[in-house]
Amino acid sequence: MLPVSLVSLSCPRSYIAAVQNPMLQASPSTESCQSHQTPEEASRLVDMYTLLSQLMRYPEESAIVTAMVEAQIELAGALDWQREAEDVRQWRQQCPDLLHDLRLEYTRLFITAARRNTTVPPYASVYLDSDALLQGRTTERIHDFYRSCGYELAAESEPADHIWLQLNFLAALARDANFEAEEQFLRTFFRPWFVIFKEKCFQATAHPVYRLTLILIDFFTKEEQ
Amino acid sequence: MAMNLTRRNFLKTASIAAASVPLSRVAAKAESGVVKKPLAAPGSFKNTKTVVGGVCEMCFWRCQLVGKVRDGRLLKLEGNPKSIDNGVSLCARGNGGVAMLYDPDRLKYPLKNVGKRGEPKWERISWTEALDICGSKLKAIVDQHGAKSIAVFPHGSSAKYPMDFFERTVGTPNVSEASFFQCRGVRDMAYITTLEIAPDENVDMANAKVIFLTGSHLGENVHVSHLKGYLKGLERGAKLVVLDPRFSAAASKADIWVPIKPGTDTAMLLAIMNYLVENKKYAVDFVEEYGEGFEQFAAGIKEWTLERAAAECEVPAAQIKQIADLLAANMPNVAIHPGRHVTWYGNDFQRERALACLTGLLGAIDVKGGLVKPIGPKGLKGTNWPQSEGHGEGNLREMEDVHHFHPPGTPTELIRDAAISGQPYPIKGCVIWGQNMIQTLPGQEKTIKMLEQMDFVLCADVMPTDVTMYADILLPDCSYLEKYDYIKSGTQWDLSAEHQQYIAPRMALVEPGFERKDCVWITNEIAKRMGYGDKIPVASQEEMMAKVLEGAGLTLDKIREEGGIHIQPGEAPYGKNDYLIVHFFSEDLGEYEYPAIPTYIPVEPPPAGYMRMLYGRTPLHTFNRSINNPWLIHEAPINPVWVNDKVAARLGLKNGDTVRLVNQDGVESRTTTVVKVTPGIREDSVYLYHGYGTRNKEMTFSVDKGVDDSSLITKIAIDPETGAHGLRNNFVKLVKVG
Repeated sequence: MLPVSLVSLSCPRSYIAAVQNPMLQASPSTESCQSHQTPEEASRLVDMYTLLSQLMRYPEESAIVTAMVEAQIELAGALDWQREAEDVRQWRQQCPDLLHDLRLEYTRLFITAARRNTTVPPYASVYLDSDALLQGRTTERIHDFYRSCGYELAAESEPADHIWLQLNFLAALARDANFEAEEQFLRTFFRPWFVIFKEKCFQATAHPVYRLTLILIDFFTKEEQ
Repeated sequence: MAMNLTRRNFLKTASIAAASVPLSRVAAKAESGVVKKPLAAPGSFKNTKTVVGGVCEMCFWRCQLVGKVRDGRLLKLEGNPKSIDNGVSLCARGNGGVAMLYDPDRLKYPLKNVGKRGEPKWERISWTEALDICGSKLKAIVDQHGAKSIAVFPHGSSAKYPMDFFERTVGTPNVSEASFFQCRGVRDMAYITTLEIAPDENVDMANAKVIFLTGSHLGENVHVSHLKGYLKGLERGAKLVVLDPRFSAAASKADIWVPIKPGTDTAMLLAIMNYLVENKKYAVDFVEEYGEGFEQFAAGIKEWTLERAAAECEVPAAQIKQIADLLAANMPNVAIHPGRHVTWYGNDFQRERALACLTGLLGAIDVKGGLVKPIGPKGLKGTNWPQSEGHGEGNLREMEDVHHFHPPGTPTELIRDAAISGQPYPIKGCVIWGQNMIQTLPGQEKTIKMLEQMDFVLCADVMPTDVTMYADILLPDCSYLEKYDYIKSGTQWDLSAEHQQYIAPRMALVEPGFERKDCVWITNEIAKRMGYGDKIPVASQEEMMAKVLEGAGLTLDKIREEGGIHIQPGEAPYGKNDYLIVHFFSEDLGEYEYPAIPTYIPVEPPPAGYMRMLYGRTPLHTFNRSINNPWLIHEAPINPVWVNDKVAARLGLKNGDTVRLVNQDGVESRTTTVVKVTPGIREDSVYLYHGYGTRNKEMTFSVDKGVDDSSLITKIAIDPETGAHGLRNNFVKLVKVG
């Protein structure tokens, strides 16, 4: 159950505009949230969110990069996204140092732009708040939502609305089988900015790992038809 | 698989099984970003708190702040109500500090350049790796070429601790601060040479009968308490005289505005002084008592009749006489403002000398309305890096025996030339801390050449400024809202009000986000890796502050309890200078073969078809330092170029036309700006705000906005006495675009 305080969270105009976008409107789910997932499905969902969350963190370890890429290829294959799976497979074959290559691309894409490109900051407030700053009202609302579900940030150094933290939080909700909160978080907070973020990333990167990551995130967070 | 496959269907399918092994490996290693925590009552963190102890550094006036903080987020900045300096007032930039703090473009993590200098390709790296690289590279350079082969370019309070480390302990003499060599050093040295006083901007404008400004940006450069004094003076009836080729904010308030020909201010000052001397309208008793070399001075400036200056300055002789009479009628209560950013024409020491002599001639020192040093709190002493044996060896200025009246450090041009030529010795390591040398120094090509020949370039900054594109390692510094690194002290701004003193240590209003670190920590870590671990004077920024406050019997906690500012009774400042002396004729200057009396040195006029490029401030920016601030750039997104209306008509330019600027050497501005047609500027000059035209694409709010005037300053002028740059000796024409 969601605490009452959450209901009083008001949406800024930008959210409402984003939510009202017909592209984002979904027909109401025919199934109730509580009966949505079997334990096995829920556990798989936890794995998905965990993977996606880790893919959106700055890569630090070779072993985890290898595993993430492997998982990504398998998932793309299972979804019949043959071209995307093949692109990542080829990159893996040709790239002499996967970790280093991903670090460079992550830095370029999400931290600091290279020439002729722009950074795509992975923070919700940049897309949803009118002055496009970090630690904005959106950051606070998202942080409050975590708290309302019984979660707090493990470290305070990154703003609460970094994409990796949001996906990590979604993993935690799935683990708790709190699908009502998951659905609400996706609809109210995650999707409104992610759709903009994804488009900007697609314009800014040709890297197969991040392109596939983004379409996987899109697939797993999109409301069901 | 079907196009309309849903997540749920997918999670049910068996095809996912193949991913399960790598997925479990990821899950096993994954760190969690969120942890379970029972819901706390929101009241415990949701109340907005007022955090005291902020000291602004959007500019360097350093107003005292409080922050409205909720749940660790800074929502708003306000003037500290306890302040007897800025009080509750903050300027637009001060308010904009919030947007600096949360600018998404700010540096967040240590970065390594794996591409080329100037065309960086960044990789985020750990602090350990970054510091190891800095330590080993800098140590190798010192080991191979000596301490002098490290050049340091610091700016701002964050840069002091690292600067002292490199200058005192490592021992390099090649330290050059923009605040001295491209700003105020000339002023300080001229006043010290003339009056034996470092003037700062200590003119008692609030109590002056006349305020005399030479090319001032008061009102366009908003230093809050300084402006309060200025406006109070005007409110109390002070007459305002403004010399400026442009109808500036100050000119708009002036009783007498003199649209003087650029570069000729010294000629006018000499004529004013000569008139005062010849007509015995100066402070005769004062000069007799405190003056040195007055006769030589009086004889030397005799040639400067009103008529001669009128011709040179393109100003009516009657207007010069009117100003001189106004000053004489109101002496000694006249505020001859020493200026702030004074590196204009490469003859600036002489102009500042003339201003100091005029102050002395009017007896306007240590009296109401004059040049008065407020008496601030005593006892604030600190600790510093120990001086190594042989520190300062290889001083380029001494080796060349030039610029004998230089401000602290080594003139920038000497370092740059030595680095490029490798003579008299190689300069191979560069530490740039908070200074965007691409925009502070004239001759960008030379700066780039200097950086390109380095073995190692370290930059520490808050923003990815243009110069950071040339770094090998780029470190994210804390901003002024996230650290403890400076103690602002002083008195109430109106010297005729109740005498009070204040001590305001800068305290962090919020935690530094991301992986930003403060200058004490960073410098200490580099020092350890360079083998100076045993020389570290303080372990942390808080300890550094505590040691300074100790001398005044204070602690950070005590001051925090007092509302962030300690206030104590002060002293009346007037008549306190027992050692007053005015060197109208300076034997010291004469000894080194500089003019011993203030002397006018003409500057080159614009070539036909060109206009002199003057630059200055908008109240919304501190030059390039604040240019990317999302709130401020929104309010002042471009630097229009002011063009005289008659000139514009001749050139066929209209208000709002887009133009490119081309200088006398054929250098074109990389970007464009718009024309502002106005009668408020001379026909021989154009004017624009400095600090625009950022090239680094990482500065996403400001990149390519407006024109970078520095890129057009290719003709380099050096002030002979000080070695400081003169930055207004370049000429441009406007080329209409589109």
